[in-house]
Amino acid sequence: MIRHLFKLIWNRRRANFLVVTEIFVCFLVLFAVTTFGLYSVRNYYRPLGFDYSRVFSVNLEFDQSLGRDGRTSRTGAAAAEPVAENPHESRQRALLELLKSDPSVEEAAWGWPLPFSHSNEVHSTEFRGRDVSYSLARVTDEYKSVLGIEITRGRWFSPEDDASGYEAYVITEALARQAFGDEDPVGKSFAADRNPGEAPPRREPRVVGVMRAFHQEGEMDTEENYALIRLDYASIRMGRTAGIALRMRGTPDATVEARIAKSLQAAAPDWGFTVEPMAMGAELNRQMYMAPIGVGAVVAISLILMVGLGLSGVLWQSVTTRIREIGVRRALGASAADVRHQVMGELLVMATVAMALGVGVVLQFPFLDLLGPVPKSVFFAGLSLTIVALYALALLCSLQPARLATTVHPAEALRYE
Amino acid sequence: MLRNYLTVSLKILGRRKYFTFVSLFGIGFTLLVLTLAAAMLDHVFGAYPPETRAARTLSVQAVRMQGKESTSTGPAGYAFYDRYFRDLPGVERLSLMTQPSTVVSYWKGARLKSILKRTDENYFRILDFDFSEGGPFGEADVESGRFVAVINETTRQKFFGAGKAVGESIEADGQTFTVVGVVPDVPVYRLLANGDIYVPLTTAKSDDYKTKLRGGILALFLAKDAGSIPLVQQEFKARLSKVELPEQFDRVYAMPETPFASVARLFFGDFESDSASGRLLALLLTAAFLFMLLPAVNLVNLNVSRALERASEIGVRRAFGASARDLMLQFLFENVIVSVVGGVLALVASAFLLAALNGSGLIPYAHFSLNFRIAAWGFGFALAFGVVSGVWPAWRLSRLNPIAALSGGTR
Repeated sequence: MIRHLFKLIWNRRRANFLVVTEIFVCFLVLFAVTTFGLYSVRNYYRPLGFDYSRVFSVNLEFDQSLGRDGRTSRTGAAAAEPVAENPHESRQRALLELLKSDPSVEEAAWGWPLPFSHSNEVHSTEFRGRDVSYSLARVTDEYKSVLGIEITRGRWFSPEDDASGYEAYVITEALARQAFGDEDPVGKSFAADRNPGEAPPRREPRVVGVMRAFHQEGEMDTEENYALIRLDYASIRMGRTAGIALRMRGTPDATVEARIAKSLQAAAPDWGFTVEPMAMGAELNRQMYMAPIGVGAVVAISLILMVGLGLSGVLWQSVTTRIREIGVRRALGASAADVRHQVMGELLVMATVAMALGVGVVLQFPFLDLLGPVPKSVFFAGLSLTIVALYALALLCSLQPARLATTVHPAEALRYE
Repeated sequence: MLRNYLTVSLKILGRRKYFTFVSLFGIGFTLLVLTLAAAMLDHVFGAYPPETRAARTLSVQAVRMQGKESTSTGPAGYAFYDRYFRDLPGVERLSLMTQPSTVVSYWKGARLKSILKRTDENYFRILDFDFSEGGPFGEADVESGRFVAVINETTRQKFFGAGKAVGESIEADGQTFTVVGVVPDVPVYRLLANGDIYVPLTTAKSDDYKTKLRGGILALFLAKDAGSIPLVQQEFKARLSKVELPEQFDRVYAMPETPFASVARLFFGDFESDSASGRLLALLLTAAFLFMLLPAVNLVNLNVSRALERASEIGVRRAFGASARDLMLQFLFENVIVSVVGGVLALVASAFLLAALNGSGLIPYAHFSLNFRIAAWGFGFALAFGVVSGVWPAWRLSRLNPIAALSGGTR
């Protein structure tokens, strides 16, 4: 039966070639949409890694160049020596103390970049012979209690890391898996591979603990590899840290926010401060992510609707053209169901051919390692869903033309000119 | 003759309702998406008030400094322009402004968010704001760092309701300003002109910015006339070599240009050549073409499958001496006509959708509308779509064997 259908399709190959092309392109569009949709849904339900309700972020504006633009004086005088230590140390300590003494602040920590800040620092290094890339934030010891970070292995930063000769890291489970495999990373060095003759870093990076996850920009952030690095007030890094995270008591309103902004401004008049509930940043990110998805979904659905209507039109037309063929079949004893199956079967066979081509094309992505952050499971789930949906679409399109074909009376059809 | 073709194509449109609907739905939807995209891009990059002098306004949004080991790309600092580009020949005025930043005001127990821009008096001489109340701040205000502000209509509403704003004070970013003028809202996607609160550069909390070569400052150059733009660009390029860079860098790239060219430059990360805007346009047009592909294949399919309908007509015309070329042109023309009808529908629908988008408040102060330029783009897309989707069916139909066509066959 199917072999016979193939023969029929082959005989009309010029017309059918276009139908196959159309289903093929449609397959690619549908596949992109379903895979991306599944990926987004999956991302939405992962653990975020921290709790931003009742957390305020304070973004600071101050001179962070620390003399690095020093040679730019009008006279072209000798370069100012780059500063070796943090010139803002005493002020940064004082500001945090000031915040902690506020009755509505439960805990406060310095850190940069803060969640929902839209800035990120990415490190791409070679570690144990493999490329490892991760985003990072540098934070002080209070950060864990401010954001409620969950430690799964090892420990969080503690004063014992002071003057210990290493730089303490807490990394996500995903980063631990990628960098260390099945090995327990706690206590291990995280120093990048060095070329022979290259000097070791001044302070060796060392993993002291592992956290469940940390998606800095919220639920939809695709970065899985994240590291928190302990800040030391005296270090030059601290001098560039321009964020404070605050955990508040109860549900603070705008008056509390205003009071905090005002007291910070009074303590450091030449610095800029912007206080904002983190939940607002989270909401903004969600909207920024959802808007293009919504537009894309509407466009894709309209495209597929258009293809559906078009295909059923083509099929309808082909039934009209082949009315004599159908008449002959009916006259030779084919039942209405037989004819219906033929019309539907032809479209399904063409859909199968188109999808075989499509699957062949998209399978190149995992083979060539082009999936990016999309996991293989999501890819294959998207692929299966697309195949099911496209068969459903093909069936739906062929229903009406197939019904039409069965209404043909054999005697009339044979007379038809 | 074209009138005949027109009559025939409209007749056919009216003949089979289902096919007409499917064709027009596909064409209309495709052109709707393209028209909407064109309208939005036109509103982002085209000339709209208050940028009435856009034809001779150039901006520098980012510079790239390059050294052996490090590269820095982003807005330049105040000192970069102040030291080297104040008196460029061919330039009538230079205005410097900070990147728009989001600031918070605490006003009567509420939290108000605004976009703040710190700038100078020339900003209001290059951009042509239509003040509804008061006026701009002037040179003296900027010189002495007076805490004065120009606010937009929405900010006036938020702070003062229906009342007058000039002479009142507002609090923003922890500072207090006296309002001197009120301007209309500028859509948030107009990068050069948008803002809720405009205040003098010199009110910055610290004077650090004055010595910085990098960071946070955008420049607007108003050329004497459109003809002197190449001169300005040439001179700007020549002066770049005089900039004393921080020691980690040895080269610097930047160019005063249109907003579209700036965006293209950043998009491709190409600071060395000046071809980025052409490439971005080509990329956008390619994307539009690819988007047309699926709908075009759909329409081709539909038209080819309808060949039988036209068989007797084709047979008669061939029998009376019409060449295959004549027929092909006729069918192509018909398809273009149908596409243009779809394009008109799309234009009408996009007017409604843009109005709905303006009203929804999704994009702050959005003010999308249709104009002649956008309609021309829509018409261009319709023509392109008509040709792309029409050539193959027209060729197929024109090749029908006249004898077979007359007897009703299609092979």
